[in-house]
Amino acid sequence: MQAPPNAAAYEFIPEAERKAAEQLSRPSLSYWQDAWRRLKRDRLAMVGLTFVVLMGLLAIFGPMFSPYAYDYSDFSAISQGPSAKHWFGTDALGRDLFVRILYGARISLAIGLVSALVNMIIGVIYGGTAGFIGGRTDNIMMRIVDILIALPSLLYIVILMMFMGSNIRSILIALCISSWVGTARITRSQVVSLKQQEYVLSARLAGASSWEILIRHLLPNSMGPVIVSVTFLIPSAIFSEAFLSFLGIGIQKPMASWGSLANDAIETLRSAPYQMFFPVAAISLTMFSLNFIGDGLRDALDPRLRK
Amino acid sequence: MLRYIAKRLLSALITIVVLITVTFALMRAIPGSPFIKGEQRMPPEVLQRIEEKYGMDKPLFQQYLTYLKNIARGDFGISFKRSDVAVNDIIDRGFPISARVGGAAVVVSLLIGLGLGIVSAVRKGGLLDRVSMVLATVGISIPTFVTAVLLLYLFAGVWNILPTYGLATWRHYILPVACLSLSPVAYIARMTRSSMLEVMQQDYIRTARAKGLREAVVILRHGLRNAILPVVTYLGTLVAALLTGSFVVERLYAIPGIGRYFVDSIGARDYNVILGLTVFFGIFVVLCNILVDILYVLIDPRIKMTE
Repeated sequence: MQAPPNAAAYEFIPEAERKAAEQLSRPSLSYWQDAWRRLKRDRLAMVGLTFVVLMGLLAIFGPMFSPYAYDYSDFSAISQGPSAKHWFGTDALGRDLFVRILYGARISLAIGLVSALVNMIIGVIYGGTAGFIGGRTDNIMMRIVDILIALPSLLYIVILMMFMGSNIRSILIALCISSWVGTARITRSQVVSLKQQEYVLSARLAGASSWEILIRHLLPNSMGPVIVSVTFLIPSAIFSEAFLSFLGIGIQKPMASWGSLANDAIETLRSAPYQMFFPVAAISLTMFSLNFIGDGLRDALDPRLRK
Repeated sequence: MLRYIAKRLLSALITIVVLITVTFALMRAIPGSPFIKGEQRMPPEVLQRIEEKYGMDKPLFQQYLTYLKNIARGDFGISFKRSDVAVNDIIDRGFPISARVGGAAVVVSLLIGLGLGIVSAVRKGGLLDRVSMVLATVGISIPTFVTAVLLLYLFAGVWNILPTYGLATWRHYILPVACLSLSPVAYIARMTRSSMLEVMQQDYIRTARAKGLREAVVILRHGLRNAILPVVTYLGTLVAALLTGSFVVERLYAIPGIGRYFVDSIGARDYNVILGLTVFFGIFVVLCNILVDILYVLIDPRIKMTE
């Protein structure tokens, strides 16, 4: 402890305050409170979080206040640059780009969140079961995961999309089929190592059933690394959707997603570069923010990984 | 060692069989596939060739065996849309081109990624470290199609200094390779940096320094050789990423590679070509991963003991 530099620190303090100061322990924090405290100190992560929350609010409420609909064509205002009337300009069919990007945000954020959530549920159940039962069941279940990880999932997503038709539902299903395996691996390794801990033994001695131990003790305690990996699933799901829509098999016209907006803008790249700039900026900034949040969460939730 | 390799080969074989089976099942299930009777809108000569080739009058299981046998012989099927196109023609024509661009990208990303990673680890906290870590986040956050479009716009549209169409000269390679390398460079730099930081604190590094070795030798022979292991594991994934990344890049830069044909077939709804190429990609990826696994054992003898 270093001596405080200012004289005020040496002044006498009233008795009551002294009593209070003798309470040496700070309020005890739960794992999650502690993680939140650490996350709050990570400036980049907080900037990212603010951006994503703002983007989410804009995506939900923005279209309600906009005078334009996402599929409303104003043929007197085709490919106009940004102006007070159309903040981000209009596209080749005279549609307001700002509103279309907000709809794109709805799709991207919804796909990112829903697929991350579903993947977390599947992955945690699968990995938790494998790790908890152990033995041969574990071995077989994890070999299946090894095989699924080795498959080039994006290619199968492409095929599934063609098979199920191009809409949000099939994008979600395709994403959920392929990307829970990483979460399953992490949950399993967590459960396997936690299983040996004393508190599990003591819970067992206290008469808890296996099911209770898994749900009440093992899974909650393995959540940190799982949540970190799931956070990184959100940008990769958004990326996959943008990629599919960019190739023309994702979100279909007249609906807009960031990927399909970027795809539409290729033809007019030279004459109207702003049509490319805004969707691309939206994707990149969101990806940045989500990656920063992921990095911050990793540092906050998994103190062992910190350097 | 041999046992380990045999085990890996066996699991790769299982993966490939699963991959082919899934593909076969999808092919039978996709609406509009010629395998479903009553949905035959294809030229009669194509239909006849397909019926001969796949023995469509035979029972399902036999069709499956025929399909397996064809692929084992290196025959990835024929187009459903045009009678004169076989998937193998596409692979013969497109793969060497994709491999040249992708190979160049692998080399570039390894050189730059390792270089940046080493320098940032050795001069931790320095200017180059901070710059390269910002660069790494940028590279991870921005999708390939965004960089591809931006570079296209800047170098060809605004400044007009680099060619963007085809692969006639070495200058044609610059932009596509740059697009493909950006995110691998970012990953490799990040990975190299963190594993170098860990390795450089080990006792054997101190020993090497104590022996009076030059710092360059310590870093490259003792440090990098150990720090490179996670990068080697990533190489298998990198090849897969370059293959999928190349879809967008080959399309935007009009490179007649295999990824371009894949995208074109998606547009044409030519299922059989898509599935044939997917199987080819899949087998390629699995084989790359196997090679990487074997390489890994050769580089790091410690693996043998744990396996």
